[in-house]
Amino acid sequence: MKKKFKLAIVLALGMSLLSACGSSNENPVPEATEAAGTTEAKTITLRWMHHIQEESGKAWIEKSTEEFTKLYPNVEFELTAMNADNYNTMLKTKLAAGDAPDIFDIDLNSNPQFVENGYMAELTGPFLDNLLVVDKSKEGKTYALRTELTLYSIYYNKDAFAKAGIESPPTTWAEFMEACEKLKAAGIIPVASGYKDSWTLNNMIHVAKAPSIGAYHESWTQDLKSRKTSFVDDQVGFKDLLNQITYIYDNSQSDPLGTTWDKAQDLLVSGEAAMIINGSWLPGNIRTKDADANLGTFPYPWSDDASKNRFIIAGEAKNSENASYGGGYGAYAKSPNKDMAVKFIEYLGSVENGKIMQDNRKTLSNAKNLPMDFEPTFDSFAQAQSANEVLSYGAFQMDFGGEYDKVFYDEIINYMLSKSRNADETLKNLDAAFDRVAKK
Amino acid sequence: MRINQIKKSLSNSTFLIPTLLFFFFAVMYPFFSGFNIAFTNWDGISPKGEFIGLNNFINIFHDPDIIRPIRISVEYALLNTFFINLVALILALGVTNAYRGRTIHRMIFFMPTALSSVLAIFIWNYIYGEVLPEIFGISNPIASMSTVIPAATLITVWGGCGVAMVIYIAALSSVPTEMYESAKVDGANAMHRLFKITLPLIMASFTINITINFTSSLSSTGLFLVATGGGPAGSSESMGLYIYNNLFIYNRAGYGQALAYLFLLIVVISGVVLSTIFRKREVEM
Repeated sequence: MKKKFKLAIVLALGMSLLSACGSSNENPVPEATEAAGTTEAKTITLRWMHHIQEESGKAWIEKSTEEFTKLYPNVEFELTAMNADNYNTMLKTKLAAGDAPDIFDIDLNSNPQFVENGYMAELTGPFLDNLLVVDKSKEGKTYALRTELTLYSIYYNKDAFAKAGIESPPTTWAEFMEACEKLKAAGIIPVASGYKDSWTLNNMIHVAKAPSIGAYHESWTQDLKSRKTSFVDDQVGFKDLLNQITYIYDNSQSDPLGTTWDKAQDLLVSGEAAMIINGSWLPGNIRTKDADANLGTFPYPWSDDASKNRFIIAGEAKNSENASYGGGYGAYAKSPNKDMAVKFIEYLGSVENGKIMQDNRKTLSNAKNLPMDFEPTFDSFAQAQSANEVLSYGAFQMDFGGEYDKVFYDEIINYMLSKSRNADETLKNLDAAFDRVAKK
Repeated sequence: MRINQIKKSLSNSTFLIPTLLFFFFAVMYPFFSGFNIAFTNWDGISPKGEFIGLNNFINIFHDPDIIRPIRISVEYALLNTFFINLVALILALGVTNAYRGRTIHRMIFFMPTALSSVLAIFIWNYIYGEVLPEIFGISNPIASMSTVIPAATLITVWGGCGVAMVIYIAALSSVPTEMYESAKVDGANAMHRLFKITLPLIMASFTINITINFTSSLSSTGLFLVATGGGPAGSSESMGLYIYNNLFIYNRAGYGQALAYLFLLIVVISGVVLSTIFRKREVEM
């Protein structure tokens, strides 16, 4: 009796295991892999993997796919949203596993293997002429489309500034420090920092690097990796920047590393904090929290010479030697739906889609000839643009990529958290770490 | 007699078949199907890498960055094993004797184990990131280098002591009550009874719990990946996460794979050593 009972359990367990295997095989197979050659227009499923979490960005994705489906009724989309911190890892894993999405966005400068292994479809055609910035490799080829131009600057709550008696945004570093003091005196946190989401710390540093180093030393990032230059032999003013970054950390709300990006934005919206130092996707995010938020933006004032503190956006390589793959949306070259995926990328580069992007995502489009009145936060930038006062950091690379990024940010966090704040030692540590990674 | 024994052990081991099958397909097969990668310089993205022999294994011994992950993993494993077993044993001692509400108490203590570990991490992230700062004015312990490991340990102790508790309860219930009675007659107090009777007689459950907890926390990856991302500034980059980072972030999949095999060996050895040490102290009843 007992034996029979045991046998029954074993069988039951075995069956459940088998049935589990069976059901996993029934996962929907992408229709895209079906044999080609049928006469009528067969349904094409484009798989798009992205890391857009905020509602404004999702609205842009939804409208874009809807509009594209109107043009090509046989196209369907399968969207996968990822957390920004894990996006690259997931994408690489999917590529290595032969399960790559048809459309994805990637920084090809810090991930050149994507191009070198032939995973990226080349983008050609007249649609590139309608764009403000087109990244071209040394061979003159384009593999990724920038849909937006990130404006790395300081975003501030105008009401909070007014409450603290700050009449106009600071134009020099001295004025910035003065503004922080005034804000603190008025009981307002100068800067909201949400470094629990680690990419926001990276972006704060991008904001500081772009106008100070990026505008003048296009190849700094690559030169550090190839060890042509060093942190100690600081010819770009990185040490000053390190002190500014720490000043920003010290003037944030308590526990910046324990605060999320979402919470930091709440602090800005509520006026508890006055500034966020990040990219131009911020206004779109903020609008989903508070449609009437009174925001403005001003250039990162790294210098004490006000004429140097200008708005800065990406541009094409200033020196052809620094030409690089750039980054943005690309199509998987080995996808059976490559042609349709490329068509969709072309659509994303169109003026029509630029308009959808501006209206929904409230961010700066890379398409030419679009009006700039879609978001009041960018008024100051639009003025600077029409006065021809906007700088370009060309092909300056924001990220080092791979383990370089890890050791770079680890050292900076170490510096921010240390009591002694010995900048020279941090520069030495950075060099030692970069040497170590370069040798691996 | 012999044949009966063989029959018995055969029918007993059939119970292992489903688990073994699952273990083979979900753990062994994927793990060893990547064996060749450990001998290449594959970057994790390219179609394939070049064969470089034992270089990856040799490089492990010249990698200065490996010391910190080892230290972090050992520190976490020691803390986690100690506290899981301490808390589980105390809970088990509390809920073994028959009393009203025993079942409900057992259920409450076991409940965290039923949660998925990712969900548990989200709950604790909320406690650490919102409840502690907002209500108690304590800054997020996950965001500080000195408290991140204890804070991570608390998450797994909370979520992991349920299983250890069940094993201890099973062991405690099998201790014959006559022993306690005769000890009482001989004048042994509660402390004596605990250390002279209870603990020696449940030594087998220590062997199981400590070995399982130590080896699993030594190789812990997901907790740090989800809860801390290895930060701040790499202060919670465990060995598992270091391997993961090499495989997927640093574009050194070959090296990461080699590291994974070597580390597996270390985990297995530490498990064998631990269980041998504790086995020797077990008392036959």
